Amino acid sequence: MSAILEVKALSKRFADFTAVDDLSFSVPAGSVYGFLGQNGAGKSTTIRMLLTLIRPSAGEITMFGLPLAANRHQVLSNVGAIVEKPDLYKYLNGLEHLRIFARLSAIRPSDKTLKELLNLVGLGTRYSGRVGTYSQGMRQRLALACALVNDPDLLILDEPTNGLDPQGIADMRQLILHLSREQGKTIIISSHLLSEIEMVADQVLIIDKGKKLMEASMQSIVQKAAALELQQQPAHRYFLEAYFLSLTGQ
Amino acid sequence: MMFFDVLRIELFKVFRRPRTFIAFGAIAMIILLIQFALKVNGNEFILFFTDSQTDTFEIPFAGILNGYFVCVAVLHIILVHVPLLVALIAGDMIAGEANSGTLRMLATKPVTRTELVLAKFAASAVYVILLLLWMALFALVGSLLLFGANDLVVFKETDLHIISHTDVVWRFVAAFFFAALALIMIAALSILLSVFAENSLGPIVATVCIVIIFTILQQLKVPVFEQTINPWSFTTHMLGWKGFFYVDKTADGITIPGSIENPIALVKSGLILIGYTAAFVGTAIGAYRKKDILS
Repeated sequence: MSAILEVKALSKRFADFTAVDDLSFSVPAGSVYGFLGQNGAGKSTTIRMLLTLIRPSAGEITMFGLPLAANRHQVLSNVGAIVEKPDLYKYLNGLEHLRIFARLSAIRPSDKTLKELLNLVGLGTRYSGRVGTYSQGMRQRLALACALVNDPDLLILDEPTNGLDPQGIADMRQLILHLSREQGKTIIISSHLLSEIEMVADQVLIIDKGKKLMEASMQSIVQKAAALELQQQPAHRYFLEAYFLSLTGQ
Repeated sequence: MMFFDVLRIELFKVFRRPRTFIAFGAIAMIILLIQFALKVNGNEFILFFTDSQTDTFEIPFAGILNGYFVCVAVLHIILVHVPLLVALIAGDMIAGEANSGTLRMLATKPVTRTELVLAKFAASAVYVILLLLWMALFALVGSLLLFGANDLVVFKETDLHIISHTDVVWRFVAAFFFAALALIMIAALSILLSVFAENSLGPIVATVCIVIIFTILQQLKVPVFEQTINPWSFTTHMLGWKGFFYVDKTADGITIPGSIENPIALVKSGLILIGYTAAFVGTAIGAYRKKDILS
Protein backbone atom coordinates (compact mmCIF):
# COMPACT_ATOMS: atom_id res chain seq x y z
CA MET A 1 0.00 0.00 0.00
CA SER A 2 1.34 3.46 -0.86
CA ALA A 3 1.57 6.05 1.89
CA ILE A 4 -1.07 8.78 1.93
CA LEU A 5 0.80 10.62 4.67
CA GLU A 6 4.50 10.70 5.38
CA VAL A 7 6.05 12.49 8.31
CA LYS A 8 9.82 12.90 8.50
CA ALA A 9 11.80 14.13 11.51
CA LEU A 10 8.94 16.26 12.75
CA SER A 11 9.65 18.36 15.86
CA LYS A 12 7.85 21.05 17.78
CA ARG A 13 9.43 23.06 20.53
CA PHE A 14 7.62 25.54 22.80
CA ALA A 15 10.40 27.63 24.37
CA ASP A 16 12.39 25.06 26.42
CA PHE A 17 9.82 22.29 26.09
CA THR A 18 9.97 19.82 23.23
CA ALA A 19 6.46 18.51 22.61
CA VAL A 20 7.32 16.44 19.53
CA ASP A 21 10.83 15.20 18.97
CA ASP A 22 12.14 13.94 15.63
CA LEU A 23 8.98 11.98 14.86
CA SER A 24 8.74 9.98 11.63
CA PHE A 25 5.93 7.72 10.47
CA SER A 26 3.89 6.93 7.41
CA VAL A 27 0.22 6.13 7.02
CA PRO A 28 -0.74 3.62 4.31
CA ALA A 29 -3.62 4.63 2.04
CA GLY A 30 -6.91 3.01 3.01
CA SER A 31 -5.79 2.03 6.50
CA VAL A 32 -7.15 2.88 9.92
CA TYR A 33 -4.12 4.19 11.72
CA GLY A 34 -4.21 4.27 15.52
CA PHE A 35 -2.24 7.01 17.20
CA LEU A 36 -1.56 6.33 20.86
CA GLY A 37 0.23 7.95 23.75
CA GLN A 38 -0.21 9.06 27.33
CA ASN A 39 -1.62 12.50 28.12
CA GLY A 40 1.01 15.03 27.09
CA ALA A 41 2.81 12.53 24.85
CA GLY A 42 2.51 14.88 21.87
CA LYS A 43 -0.45 13.34 20.00
CA SER A 44 -2.54 16.49 19.77
CA THR A 45 0.48 18.62 18.89
CA THR A 46 1.33 16.22 16.07
CA ILE A 47 -2.25 16.19 14.82
CA ARG A 48 -2.37 19.99 14.91
CA MET A 49 0.81 20.12 12.84
CA LEU A 50 -0.77 17.74 10.31
CA LEU A 51 -3.68 20.18 10.05
CA THR A 52 -1.50 23.33 9.88
CA LEU A 53 -2.86 24.62 13.19
CA ILE A 54 0.68 24.60 14.60
CA ARG A 55 3.89 25.33 12.71
CA PRO A 56 6.51 22.60 13.04
CA SER A 57 9.91 23.66 14.41
CA ALA A 58 11.52 21.14 12.08
CA GLY A 59 10.64 18.28 9.77
CA GLU A 60 8.51 17.56 6.72
CA ILE A 61 4.92 16.52 6.23
CA THR A 62 3.85 15.09 2.90
CA MET A 63 0.19 14.29 2.16
CA PHE A 64 -1.09 12.80 -1.08
CA GLY A 65 2.50 13.07 -2.35
CA LEU A 66 2.56 16.85 -1.84
CA PRO A 67 4.57 18.81 0.74
CA LEU A 68 1.95 20.20 3.13
CA ALA A 69 3.62 23.57 3.75
CA ALA A 70 3.66 24.50 0.07
CA ASN A 71 0.31 22.92 -0.88
CA ARG A 72 -1.87 23.65 2.14
CA HIS A 73 -4.98 24.60 0.18
CA GLN A 74 -4.89 21.61 -2.17
CA VAL A 75 -4.05 19.13 0.59
CA LEU A 76 -6.62 20.34 3.13
CA SER A 77 -9.34 20.24 0.46
CA ASN A 78 -9.05 16.48 0.74
CA VAL A 79 -8.82 16.18 4.52
CA GLY A 80 -11.52 16.14 7.19
CA ALA A 81 -10.78 16.47 10.89
CA ILE A 82 -12.07 16.55 14.42
CA VAL A 83 -9.61 18.15 16.83
CA GLU A 84 -10.42 17.44 20.47
CA LYS A 85 -13.77 18.51 21.88
CA PRO A 86 -15.73 20.54 19.31
CA ASP A 87 -18.36 22.86 20.76
CA LEU A 88 -19.53 24.23 17.40
CA TYR A 89 -21.85 27.22 16.97
CA LYS A 90 -24.55 26.87 19.62
CA TYR A 91 -26.91 29.29 17.88
CA LEU A 92 -26.90 27.42 14.54
CA ASN A 93 -28.55 24.12 13.65
CA GLY A 94 -26.95 20.98 12.26
CA LEU A 95 -27.82 21.64 8.64
CA GLU A 96 -26.45 25.20 8.82
CA HIS A 97 -23.16 23.85 10.17
CA LEU A 98 -22.81 21.52 7.23
CA ARG A 99 -23.60 24.31 4.76
CA ILE A 100 -20.91 26.49 6.36
CA PHE A 101 -18.22 23.83 6.36
CA ALA A 102 -19.11 22.74 2.83
CA ARG A 103 -18.70 26.32 1.59
CA LEU A 104 -15.38 26.60 3.39
CA SER A 105 -14.31 23.60 1.35
CA ALA A 106 -15.56 25.38 -1.80
CA ILE A 107 -18.41 22.94 -2.41
CA ARG A 108 -22.19 23.41 -2.35
CA PRO A 109 -23.93 20.09 -1.84
CA SER A 110 -27.73 19.94 -1.91
CA ASP A 111 -29.67 19.86 1.35
CA LYS A 112 -30.66 16.29 0.46
CA THR A 113 -26.99 15.27 0.39
CA LEU A 114 -26.34 17.07 3.66
CA LYS A 115 -29.32 15.39 5.34
CA GLU A 116 -28.04 12.02 4.15
CA LEU A 117 -24.72 12.82 5.77
CA LEU A 118 -26.46 13.76 9.03
CA ASN A 119 -28.34 10.50 8.78
CA LEU A 120 -25.08 8.62 8.34
CA VAL A 121 -23.72 10.00 11.64
CA GLY A 122 -27.01 9.39 13.46
CA LEU A 123 -28.43 12.93 13.51
CA GLY A 124 -31.05 12.40 10.84
CA THR A 125 -34.02 13.75 12.77
CA ARG A 126 -32.23 16.60 14.57
CA TYR A 127 -30.90 18.61 11.63
CA SER A 128 -33.09 21.64 12.40
CA GLY A 129 -32.39 21.75 16.15
CA ARG A 130 -30.02 24.36 17.52
CA VAL A 131 -26.67 22.89 18.52
CA GLY A 132 -27.04 24.55 21.94
CA THR A 133 -29.71 21.93 22.65
CA TYR A 134 -27.50 18.99 21.55
CA SER A 135 -25.80 16.62 24.00
CA GLN A 136 -22.00 16.33 23.84
CA GLY A 137 -22.38 13.07 21.95
CA MET A 138 -24.61 14.71 19.33
CA ARG A 139 -22.10 17.53 18.92
CA GLN A 140 -19.38 14.96 18.38
CA ARG A 141 -21.49 13.32 15.68
CA LEU A 142 -22.13 16.68 14.04
CA ALA A 143 -18.41 17.48 14.15
CA LEU A 144 -17.81 14.20 12.34
CA ALA A 145 -20.39 15.15 9.72
CA CYS A 146 -18.63 18.51 9.29
CA ALA A 147 -15.35 16.63 8.80
CA LEU A 148 -16.97 14.41 6.18
CA VAL A 149 -18.84 17.13 4.29
CA ASN A 150 -16.12 17.54 1.64
CA ASP A 151 -15.94 13.74 1.16
CA PRO A 152 -12.23 13.65 2.11
CA ASP A 153 -9.85 10.79 1.37
CA LEU A 154 -8.10 11.32 4.69
CA LEU A 155 -9.90 11.70 8.03
CA ILE A 156 -7.98 12.80 11.12
CA LEU A 157 -9.91 12.16 14.31
CA ASP A 158 -8.47 13.35 17.61
CA GLU A 159 -10.34 11.66 20.47
CA PRO A 160 -13.55 11.22 18.43
CA THR A 161 -15.26 9.21 21.19
CA ASN A 162 -14.86 11.94 23.84
CA GLY A 163 -18.17 12.55 25.55
CA LEU A 164 -19.94 9.66 23.85
CA ASP A 165 -22.01 7.15 25.79
CA PRO A 166 -21.37 3.39 25.25
CA GLN A 167 -23.91 3.27 22.41
CA GLY A 168 -22.29 6.35 20.85
CA ILE A 169 -18.85 4.75 21.10
CA ALA A 170 -20.13 1.60 19.43
CA ASP A 171 -21.83 3.67 16.69
CA MET A 172 -18.63 5.67 16.11
CA ARG A 173 -16.64 2.44 15.82
CA GLN A 174 -19.08 1.06 13.24
CA LEU A 175 -18.97 4.34 11.34
CA ILE A 176 -15.17 4.36 11.24
CA LEU A 177 -15.15 0.78 9.97
CA HIS A 178 -17.81 1.65 7.40
CA LEU A 179 -15.88 4.69 6.16
CA SER A 180 -12.70 2.68 5.91
CA ARG A 181 -14.01 -0.56 4.44
CA GLU A 182 -16.95 0.65 2.35
CA GLN A 183 -15.69 4.05 1.25
CA GLY A 184 -11.95 3.38 1.23
CA LYS A 185 -11.05 6.37 3.38
CA THR A 186 -7.81 6.54 5.27
CA ILE A 187 -8.42 7.32 8.94
CA ILE A 188 -5.95 8.47 11.55
CA ILE A 189 -7.49 8.09 14.97
CA SER A 190 -6.11 9.15 18.28
CA SER A 191 -7.81 7.86 21.40
CA HIS A 192 -7.30 7.00 25.02
CA LEU A 193 -9.62 4.04 24.58
CA LEU A 194 -7.08 1.43 23.60
CA SER A 195 -9.71 -1.28 23.27
CA GLU A 196 -11.48 0.87 20.67
CA ILE A 197 -8.27 1.36 18.70
CA GLU A 198 -7.64 -2.37 18.90
CA MET A 199 -11.03 -3.05 17.34
CA VAL A 200 -10.61 -0.71 14.37
CA ALA A 201 -6.92 -0.06 13.64
CA ASP A 202 -4.81 -1.84 11.04
CA GLN A 203 -1.63 -0.02 12.02
CA VAL A 204 -0.60 1.61 15.29
CA LEU A 205 1.88 4.31 16.26
CA ILE A 206 2.78 4.71 19.93
CA ILE A 207 4.57 7.85 21.08
CA ASP A 208 5.85 8.91 24.47
CA LYS A 209 7.33 12.27 25.48
CA GLY A 210 7.17 13.35 21.87
CA LYS A 211 9.23 10.44 20.56
CA LYS A 212 8.18 7.40 18.61
CA LEU A 213 8.19 4.23 20.68
CA MET A 214 6.99 1.95 17.93
CA GLU A 215 5.02 1.76 14.71
CA ALA A 216 3.63 -1.61 13.71
CA SER A 217 0.67 -3.44 12.29
CA MET A 218 -2.07 -4.42 14.72
CA GLN A 219 -1.43 -8.02 13.81
CA SER A 220 2.21 -7.90 14.87
CA ILE A 221 1.29 -6.14 18.11
CA VAL A 222 -1.16 -8.91 18.94
CA GLN A 223 1.59 -11.45 18.41
CA LYS A 224 4.07 -9.53 20.56
CA ALA A 225 1.53 -8.88 23.29
CA ALA A 226 0.58 -12.53 23.39
CA ALA A 227 4.12 -13.31 24.49
CA LEU A 228 4.03 -10.85 27.39
CA GLU A 229 3.48 -12.07 30.93
CA LEU A 230 1.35 -8.99 31.47
CA GLN A 231 -1.15 -10.45 29.06
CA GLN A 232 -1.81 -13.37 31.38
CA GLN A 233 -2.84 -11.39 34.50
CA PRO A 234 -5.42 -10.21 34.81
CA ALA A 235 -7.04 -12.64 32.43
CA HIS A 236 -9.08 -10.31 30.21
CA ARG A 237 -6.56 -7.58 29.45
CA TYR A 238 -6.66 -6.41 25.86
CA PHE A 239 -3.65 -7.09 23.66
CA LEU A 240 -3.04 -3.46 22.71
CA GLU A 241 -3.48 -2.22 26.24
CA ALA A 242 -1.03 -4.82 27.49
CA TYR A 243 1.53 -3.90 24.91
CA PHE A 244 1.04 -0.16 25.36
CA LEU A 245 1.53 -0.41 29.12
CA SER A 246 4.62 -2.55 28.73
CA LEU A 247 6.12 0.02 26.33
CA THR A 248 5.28 3.07 28.44
CA GLY A 249 6.57 1.39 31.60
CA GLN A 250 3.30 1.08 33.56
CA MET B 1 -13.97 34.20 -4.72
CA MET B 2 -13.13 32.29 -1.55
CA PHE B 3 -12.89 35.54 0.40
CA PHE B 4 -16.49 36.46 -0.42
CA ASP B 5 -17.68 32.97 0.53
CA VAL B 6 -15.94 33.33 3.90
CA LEU B 7 -17.35 36.84 4.29
CA ARG B 8 -20.89 35.55 3.61
CA ILE B 9 -20.36 32.86 6.25
CA GLU B 10 -19.07 35.40 8.77
CA LEU B 11 -22.01 37.71 8.14
CA PHE B 12 -24.40 34.79 8.47
CA LYS B 13 -22.87 33.91 11.84
CA VAL B 14 -22.87 37.53 13.08
CA PHE B 15 -26.53 38.08 12.25
CA ARG B 16 -27.68 34.72 13.61
CA ARG B 17 -26.36 35.55 17.08
CA PRO B 18 -28.84 37.14 19.47
CA ARG B 19 -25.98 39.23 20.95
CA THR B 20 -25.71 41.18 17.70
CA PHE B 21 -29.14 42.68 18.10
CA ILE B 22 -28.51 43.93 21.64
CA ALA B 23 -26.64 46.88 20.11
CA PHE B 24 -29.49 47.68 17.70
CA GLY B 25 -32.02 47.52 20.55
CA ALA B 26 -29.84 49.64 22.87
CA ILE B 27 -29.33 52.35 20.26
CA ALA B 28 -33.02 52.54 19.40
CA MET B 29 -33.96 52.79 23.07
CA ILE B 30 -31.36 55.48 23.90
CA ILE B 31 -32.35 57.61 20.91
CA LEU B 32 -36.04 57.34 21.72
CA LEU B 33 -35.34 58.35 25.33
CA ILE B 34 -33.29 61.36 24.20
CA GLN B 35 -36.02 62.40 21.76
CA PHE B 36 -38.64 62.03 24.46
CA ALA B 37 -36.53 64.12 26.88
CA LEU B 38 -36.06 66.85 24.28
CA LYS B 39 -39.74 66.86 23.43
CA VAL B 40 -40.59 67.39 27.10
CA ASN B 41 -37.63 69.48 28.31
CA GLY B 42 -36.04 70.78 25.12
CA ASN B 43 -35.37 74.33 26.31
CA GLU B 44 -33.66 73.15 29.49
CA PHE B 45 -31.55 70.84 27.40
CA ILE B 46 -30.44 73.69 25.13
CA LEU B 47 -29.61 75.78 28.21
CA PHE B 48 -27.54 72.91 29.55
CA PHE B 49 -25.43 73.03 26.39
CA THR B 50 -25.28 76.80 26.16
CA ASP B 51 -25.07 77.79 29.81
CA SER B 52 -21.76 79.63 29.47
CA GLN B 53 -22.90 81.43 26.34
CA THR B 54 -26.12 83.04 27.56
CA ASP B 55 -24.18 86.16 28.49
CA THR B 56 -22.62 86.37 25.02
CA PHE B 57 -25.81 86.22 22.98
CA GLU B 58 -29.51 85.54 23.37
CA ILE B 59 -30.50 81.96 22.69
CA PRO B 60 -33.32 81.62 20.10
CA PHE B 61 -34.94 78.50 21.61
CA ALA B 62 -37.89 78.28 19.22
CA GLY B 63 -35.80 77.96 16.09
CA ILE B 64 -33.05 75.80 17.54
CA LEU B 65 -35.03 72.77 18.64
CA ASN B 66 -35.66 70.97 15.35
CA GLY B 67 -34.93 67.53 13.91
CA TYR B 68 -31.42 68.41 12.72
CA PHE B 69 -30.42 69.88 16.09
CA VAL B 70 -31.79 66.83 17.92
CA CYS B 71 -29.85 64.52 15.58
CA VAL B 72 -26.58 66.37 16.26
CA ALA B 73 -27.33 66.23 20.00
CA VAL B 74 -27.99 62.49 19.78
CA LEU B 75 -24.72 61.94 17.92
CA HIS B 76 -22.82 63.98 20.55
CA ILE B 77 -24.30 61.92 23.34
CA ILE B 78 -24.12 58.37 22.00
CA LEU B 79 -21.30 58.16 19.46
CA VAL B 80 -18.68 58.09 22.21
CA HIS B 81 -20.33 54.98 23.66
CA VAL B 82 -20.80 53.05 20.43
CA PRO B 83 -17.19 51.68 20.47
CA LEU B 84 -18.34 49.39 23.30
CA LEU B 85 -21.10 47.98 21.09
CA VAL B 86 -18.65 47.51 18.24
CA ALA B 87 -16.12 45.80 20.53
CA LEU B 88 -18.85 43.41 21.71
CA ILE B 89 -19.02 41.92 18.23
CA ALA B 90 -15.53 42.48 16.79
CA GLY B 91 -13.73 41.41 19.98
CA ASP B 92 -15.57 38.11 19.83
CA MET B 93 -14.74 37.42 16.19
CA ILE B 94 -11.55 35.41 16.72
CA ALA B 95 -11.22 35.04 20.49
CA GLY B 96 -14.84 33.87 20.88
CA GLU B 97 -14.29 31.17 18.28
CA ALA B 98 -11.00 30.19 19.92
CA ASN B 99 -12.87 29.76 23.19
CA SER B 100 -15.66 27.68 21.68
CA GLY B 101 -13.30 25.47 19.69
CA THR B 102 -14.74 26.45 16.32
CA LEU B 103 -11.64 28.42 15.31
CA ARG B 104 -9.57 25.27 14.93
CA MET B 105 -12.33 23.72 12.81
CA LEU B 106 -12.27 26.78 10.53
CA ALA B 107 -8.48 26.78 10.41
CA THR B 108 -8.35 23.16 9.21
CA LYS B 109 -10.36 24.07 6.12
CA PRO B 110 -8.72 25.19 2.87
CA VAL B 111 -9.06 28.88 3.66
CA THR B 112 -5.98 31.03 4.23
CA ARG B 113 -5.60 32.74 7.55
CA THR B 114 -5.34 36.08 5.75
CA GLU B 115 -8.74 35.46 4.13
CA LEU B 116 -10.18 34.48 7.50
CA VAL B 117 -8.99 37.64 9.31
CA LEU B 118 -9.98 39.89 6.40
CA ALA B 119 -13.43 38.30 6.23
CA LYS B 120 -13.92 38.76 9.97
CA PHE B 121 -12.81 42.38 9.71
CA ALA B 122 -15.08 42.99 6.72
CA ALA B 123 -18.02 41.40 8.55
CA SER B 124 -17.36 43.71 11.52
CA ALA B 125 -17.26 46.68 9.13
CA VAL B 126 -20.62 45.67 7.64
CA TYR B 127 -22.01 45.40 11.17
CA VAL B 128 -20.72 48.93 11.97
CA ILE B 129 -22.27 50.36 8.81
CA LEU B 130 -25.63 48.72 9.50
CA LEU B 131 -25.50 49.96 13.09
CA LEU B 132 -24.90 53.51 11.85
CA LEU B 133 -27.68 53.25 9.27
CA TRP B 134 -29.96 52.10 12.05
CA MET B 135 -28.79 55.04 14.16
CA ALA B 136 -29.37 57.41 11.23
CA LEU B 137 -32.87 56.05 10.78
CA PHE B 138 -33.80 56.78 14.39
CA ALA B 139 -31.66 59.87 15.06
CA LEU B 140 -32.17 61.75 11.79
CA VAL B 141 -35.36 60.46 10.19
CA GLY B 142 -37.08 59.93 13.55
CA SER B 143 -36.08 63.37 14.85
CA LEU B 144 -37.24 65.09 11.66
CA LEU B 145 -40.60 63.36 11.98
CA LEU B 146 -40.90 64.35 15.65
CA PHE B 147 -39.42 67.85 15.60
CA GLY B 148 -39.63 68.98 11.98
CA ALA B 149 -36.92 70.62 9.86
CA ASN B 150 -35.33 74.04 10.25
CA ASP B 151 -31.92 75.65 10.04
CA LEU B 152 -29.30 73.93 12.17
CA VAL B 153 -27.66 75.83 15.01
CA VAL B 154 -24.41 74.41 16.34
CA PHE B 155 -22.55 75.79 19.36
CA LYS B 156 -18.76 75.70 19.37
CA GLU B 157 -17.11 77.19 22.45
CA THR B 158 -18.14 80.88 22.28
CA ASP B 159 -19.11 80.71 18.63
CA LEU B 160 -22.42 80.00 16.94
CA HIS B 161 -22.69 78.22 13.59
CA ILE B 162 -25.96 78.55 11.69
CA ILE B 163 -26.44 76.24 8.72
CA SER B 164 -29.35 76.55 6.33
CA HIS B 165 -31.68 73.51 6.26
CA THR B 166 -30.90 73.20 2.53
CA ASP B 167 -27.21 72.80 3.38
CA VAL B 168 -27.54 70.22 6.14
CA VAL B 169 -28.35 66.76 4.74
CA TRP B 170 -25.00 66.22 3.00
CA ARG B 171 -23.28 67.14 6.26
CA PHE B 172 -25.13 64.36 8.07
CA VAL B 173 -24.24 61.89 5.34
CA ALA B 174 -20.58 62.95 5.60
CA ALA B 175 -20.67 62.85 9.42
CA PHE B 176 -22.12 59.32 9.43
CA PHE B 177 -19.51 58.26 6.85
CA PHE B 178 -16.78 59.71 9.07
CA ALA B 179 -18.24 58.02 12.16
CA ALA B 180 -18.18 54.76 10.18
CA LEU B 181 -14.45 55.25 9.54
CA ALA B 182 -13.88 55.80 13.26
CA LEU B 183 -15.93 52.81 14.37
CA ILE B 184 -14.43 50.52 11.73
CA MET B 185 -11.05 51.50 13.18
CA ILE B 186 -12.34 50.41 16.60
CA ALA B 187 -13.47 47.12 15.06
CA ALA B 188 -9.96 46.65 13.62
CA LEU B 189 -8.44 47.29 17.05
CA SER B 190 -10.79 44.75 18.65
CA ILE B 191 -9.95 42.14 16.04
CA LEU B 192 -6.23 42.72 16.58
CA LEU B 193 -6.65 42.22 20.34
CA SER B 194 -8.90 39.24 19.64
CA VAL B 195 -6.03 37.47 17.83
CA PHE B 196 -4.04 37.32 21.07
CA ALA B 197 -6.87 36.18 23.35
CA GLU B 198 -8.52 32.85 24.07
CA ASN B 199 -11.87 34.28 25.16
CA SER B 200 -13.82 37.30 24.00
CA LEU B 201 -14.04 39.16 27.31
CA GLY B 202 -10.36 40.18 27.21
CA PRO B 203 -10.40 41.99 23.84
CA ILE B 204 -13.78 43.61 24.54
CA VAL B 205 -12.61 45.02 27.88
CA ALA B 206 -9.17 45.92 26.50
CA THR B 207 -10.70 47.84 23.57
CA VAL B 208 -12.95 49.83 25.85
CA CYS B 209 -10.08 50.52 28.29
CA ILE B 210 -7.84 51.78 25.48
CA VAL B 211 -10.57 54.13 24.24
CA ILE B 212 -11.19 55.38 27.80
CA ILE B 213 -7.47 55.95 28.50
CA PHE B 214 -6.90 57.99 25.33
CA THR B 215 -10.15 59.91 25.82
CA ILE B 216 -9.04 60.89 29.34
CA LEU B 217 -5.62 61.98 28.05
CA GLN B 218 -7.43 64.11 25.48
CA GLN B 219 -9.81 65.64 28.02
CA LEU B 220 -6.99 66.54 30.42
CA LYS B 221 -5.90 69.22 27.92
CA VAL B 222 -2.43 69.49 29.46
CA PRO B 223 0.49 70.50 27.20
CA VAL B 224 2.50 67.35 27.83
CA PHE B 225 -0.21 65.26 26.16
CA GLU B 226 -1.58 67.98 23.85
CA GLN B 227 1.79 68.26 22.12
CA THR B 228 2.81 64.61 22.07
CA ILE B 229 0.11 61.95 22.18
CA ASN B 230 -3.15 63.75 21.41
CA PRO B 231 -2.34 64.92 17.84
CA TRP B 232 -1.88 61.26 16.86
CA SER B 233 -4.32 59.61 19.26
CA PHE B 234 -7.17 57.95 17.40
CA THR B 235 -9.68 59.15 19.98
CA THR B 236 -8.86 62.74 18.98
CA HIS B 237 -9.64 62.02 15.34
CA MET B 238 -12.68 59.83 16.04
CA LEU B 239 -14.56 63.01 16.90
CA GLY B 240 -13.70 64.55 13.54
CA TRP B 241 -17.31 64.10 12.37
CA LYS B 242 -18.18 67.26 14.32
CA GLY B 243 -16.10 69.22 11.80
CA PHE B 244 -18.82 68.84 9.16
CA PHE B 245 -21.08 71.04 11.30
CA TYR B 246 -18.55 73.88 11.75
CA VAL B 247 -18.87 76.23 8.79
CA ASP B 248 -16.74 78.95 7.25
CA LYS B 249 -18.03 82.53 7.46
CA THR B 250 -17.56 85.78 5.59
CA ALA B 251 -15.91 88.78 7.26
CA ASP B 252 -19.44 89.91 8.19
CA GLY B 253 -20.04 86.67 10.05
CA ILE B 254 -22.41 85.22 7.44
CA THR B 255 -22.25 81.48 6.85
CA ILE B 256 -20.81 80.45 3.48
CA PRO B 257 -23.13 77.71 2.15
CA GLY B 258 -21.46 74.34 1.54
CA SER B 259 -18.36 75.35 3.45
CA ILE B 260 -16.42 73.56 6.14
CA GLU B 261 -14.41 75.52 8.68
CA ASN B 262 -11.31 73.33 8.54
CA PRO B 263 -11.46 70.81 5.67
CA ILE B 264 -7.74 70.02 5.89
CA ALA B 265 -8.10 68.89 9.51
CA LEU B 266 -11.01 66.64 8.48
CA VAL B 267 -9.01 65.04 5.68
CA LYS B 268 -6.05 64.58 8.04
CA SER B 269 -8.28 62.96 10.67
CA GLY B 270 -9.82 60.66 8.07
CA LEU B 271 -6.42 59.60 6.78
CA ILE B 272 -5.13 58.97 10.31
CA LEU B 273 -8.15 56.77 11.06
CA ILE B 274 -7.63 54.83 7.82
CA GLY B 275 -3.94 54.50 8.69
CA TYR B 276 -4.75 53.09 12.13
CA THR B 277 -7.26 50.69 10.60
CA ALA B 278 -4.74 49.44 8.05
CA ALA B 279 -2.06 49.08 10.74
CA PHE B 280 -4.37 47.16 13.10
CA VAL B 281 -5.68 44.83 10.40
CA GLY B 282 -2.18 44.30 8.95
CA THR B 283 -0.77 43.50 12.38
CA ALA B 284 -3.70 41.17 13.11
CA ILE B 285 -3.08 39.29 9.86
CA GLY B 286 0.67 39.08 10.51
CA ALA B 287 0.17 37.85 14.08
CA TYR B 288 -2.56 35.37 13.16
CA ARG B 289 -0.57 33.90 10.30
CA LYS B 290 2.27 33.09 12.69
CA LYS B 291 0.08 32.00 15.55
CA ASP B 292 0.00 28.42 16.78
CA ILE B 293 -3.65 27.57 17.38
CA LEU B 294 -3.53 25.77 20.71
CA SER B 295 -7.05 26.50 21.96
